[in-house]
Amino acid sequence: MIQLLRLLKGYVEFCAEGGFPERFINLCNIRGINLWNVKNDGVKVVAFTTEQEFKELKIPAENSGMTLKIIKSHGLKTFAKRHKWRCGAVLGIVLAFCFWIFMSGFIWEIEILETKSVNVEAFTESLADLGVKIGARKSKIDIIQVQNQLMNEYNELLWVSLNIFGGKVQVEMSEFIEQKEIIDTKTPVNLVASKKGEIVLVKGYKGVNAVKEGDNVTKGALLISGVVKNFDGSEYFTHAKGEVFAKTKNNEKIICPYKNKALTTAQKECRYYLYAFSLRIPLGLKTKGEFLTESRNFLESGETVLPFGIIREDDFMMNENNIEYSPQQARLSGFLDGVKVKREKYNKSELKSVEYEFVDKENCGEINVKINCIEDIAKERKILTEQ
Amino acid sequence: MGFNPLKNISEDTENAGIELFGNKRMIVLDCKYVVDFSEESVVLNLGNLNMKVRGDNLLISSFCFGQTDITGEIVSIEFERA
Repeated sequence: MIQLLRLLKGYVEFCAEGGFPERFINLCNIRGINLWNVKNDGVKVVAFTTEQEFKELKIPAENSGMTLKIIKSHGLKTFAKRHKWRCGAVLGIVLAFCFWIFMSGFIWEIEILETKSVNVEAFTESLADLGVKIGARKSKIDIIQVQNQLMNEYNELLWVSLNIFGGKVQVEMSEFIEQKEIIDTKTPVNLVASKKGEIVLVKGYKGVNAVKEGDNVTKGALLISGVVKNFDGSEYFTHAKGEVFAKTKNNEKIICPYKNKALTTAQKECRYYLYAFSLRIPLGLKTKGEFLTESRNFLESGETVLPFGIIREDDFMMNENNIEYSPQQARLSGFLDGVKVKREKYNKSELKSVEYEFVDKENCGEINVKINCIEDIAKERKILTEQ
Repeated sequence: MGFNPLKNISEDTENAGIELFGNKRMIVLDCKYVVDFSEESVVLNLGNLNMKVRGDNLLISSFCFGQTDITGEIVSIEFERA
């Protein structure tokens, strides 16, 4: 600290030759002149003092017969004098410092921490509408107001928190946890067949089994009864529980039209922008597309995304056309739809066989999908009781 | 009983204090003036007493307001009548 102050004030290293060194030091002390690192090698005395006090050394030096000579000057003043022709560098440093201070008052990155149900892009747009966007001035953001408005806009949020760290805004949120549906296990129910089939396996957990393996049942037939008889002959009702697996035959019909309307790309144009500190500088002529897609490539430093990069904008001009499919194309389209239906409706079943039958009609094709599988056909049906 | 050359000098040197930091640094309080100094020895006046510090590469780091700061390789300290 003392050294720093001495550098700012400026000090000199000098030597004093001849005369009486001890008298010289004592006279300096009497006059209140501060000397430090005084060394006497027998020939000369070397010491340090401030530039201002050096001017006062003349009289003590004369009185003690010493001759003074400056060895070296130190300090800010000397440094500035030595580099006086390099004022541009100093100006550049000052301007850079001012630029850095000015730019640190803006937001340059928005980080939204992991979220499950909230769409990040839509949330970013909501933030931009509330004034929290890249290039926004930090001092103009009212954090509490933004948080309240986000809570009003997104009902699925339990809480949301905005934190500003330097030039980065970090958004943290928590969502409501979906309450699981409470399964009713008290209402008396029977388990009946949801479709006809041949029983393969009966797993009854509660209630009385009404069918056994090998039985053929129709739709609505009783599988597991919720009416239980006691030993004394009385009955009580219960919520029947169980799984009844049966071989079933299912038919699905899928229509494949030969004509359809679709949007096709007539023309595609591409335009680039240079992005720097929220400014988009176009690097080409304006395009006339109807549908825009944008891709961004920004510079990164570790995990931080810097506000410099290239944005590519693709503009598409679309045409609505009538498309005609050949029978093979319609068949393929129907086949793919059939596979989709099979996956969605029969994902918990054990498939035994799947057959596709294509029927050619006037304006469309039809695919009949025959699915043989083993599935759980038990379905709950309430027992109606008189009160 | 030997002869003590420093007898009856204490009343003049009561305010003089010496702080020693190992053998590298020494602060002397209430020093009146420098009698002699070189790289091998520094002699300070403390009133009726002179203090001689012997060593190597001795230098007076600061000397103002009666406080003297001596640094270097200090070997011995002696007192003698002024």
